[in-house]
Amino acid sequence: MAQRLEREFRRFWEQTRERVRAYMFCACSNATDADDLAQECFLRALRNWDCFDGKGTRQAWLFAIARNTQVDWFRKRGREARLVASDEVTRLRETSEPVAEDVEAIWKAIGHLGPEYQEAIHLRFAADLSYAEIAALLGVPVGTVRSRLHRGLKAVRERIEEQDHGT
Amino acid sequence: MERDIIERLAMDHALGELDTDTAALFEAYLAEHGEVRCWAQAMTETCVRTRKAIGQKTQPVDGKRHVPRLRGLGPDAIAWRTWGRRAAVVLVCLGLGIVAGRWSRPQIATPRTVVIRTESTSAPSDWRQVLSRPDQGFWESKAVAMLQTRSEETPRAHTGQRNLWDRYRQPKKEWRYE
Repeated sequence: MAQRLEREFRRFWEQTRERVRAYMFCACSNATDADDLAQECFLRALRNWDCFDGKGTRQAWLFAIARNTQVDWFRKRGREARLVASDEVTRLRETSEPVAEDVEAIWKAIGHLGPEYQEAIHLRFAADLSYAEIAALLGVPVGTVRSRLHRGLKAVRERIEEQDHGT
Repeated sequence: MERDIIERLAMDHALGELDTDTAALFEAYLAEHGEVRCWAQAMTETCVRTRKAIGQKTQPVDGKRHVPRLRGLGPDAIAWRTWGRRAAVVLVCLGLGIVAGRWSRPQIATPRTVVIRTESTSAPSDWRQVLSRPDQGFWESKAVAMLQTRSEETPRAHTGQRNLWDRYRQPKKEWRYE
């Protein structure tokens, strides 16, 4: 029984770990914290493995746990997080990985969006969830998810075009 | 079709959310309309670039080498904040203790002048009228005498105006005649 659970969980972890980590990175913009958050998320998933009621997919369930983990993390670290200046976050993002200017511009453009648009984009592009899964996770209709994604991407495109015209 | 609808369809197509039939219809429509194809291409390109950007940015890297320590989040800063909080709690408790101690100190009796004023229960005019009547009997006059009490202020101790000798002089005079 324990071996079956271990095998099943390991397979699931291998399938989803990169996406969970990417989703966490989108929230905290820090590789170390993203690793910690992903680990915490998988620990919670393992503890509640048998609590999955079969509604929706297992990965949607996992990302619901991931989202709750993020919320708890922000609540816990709220005070410390406020101490970090926005320019330092920008610097942190810039130094976390050598990336192309284009990538950085898109990343910044996403950062300027409202939280609901950011979340929709992160869940779609980092967590790679479908519209239906995102809708179930956020508790909104599929049309709302579609609308948020469209508006978010449109805003990103406009911002990039402004930057391109500016330079 | 409106640009928004085209863009939404293009986004769905790029993200794989359109079923095969709808996707085929959409592609056929785009093939016929050049301007609409430009709108769709712009949205498709945005989707691809966003996916690429997020993918590149979030892929695991050697965080210890690249990520600087956040200001105010290091172990030293946390230790200082912890000790600061403890010191603040101790100071607040100390302040509360001082205030509570100050308020709960037993009061020292301060010397006060107590003026005892005794008044008759009946108005002065009543007993004067009774006394002035010629037909009053013995018991009546006694009762009136009981009723009429002296109305005077009796200063007690700590008046500050009488010295020790004045206070004991009258009893001494009275003892002499006893």
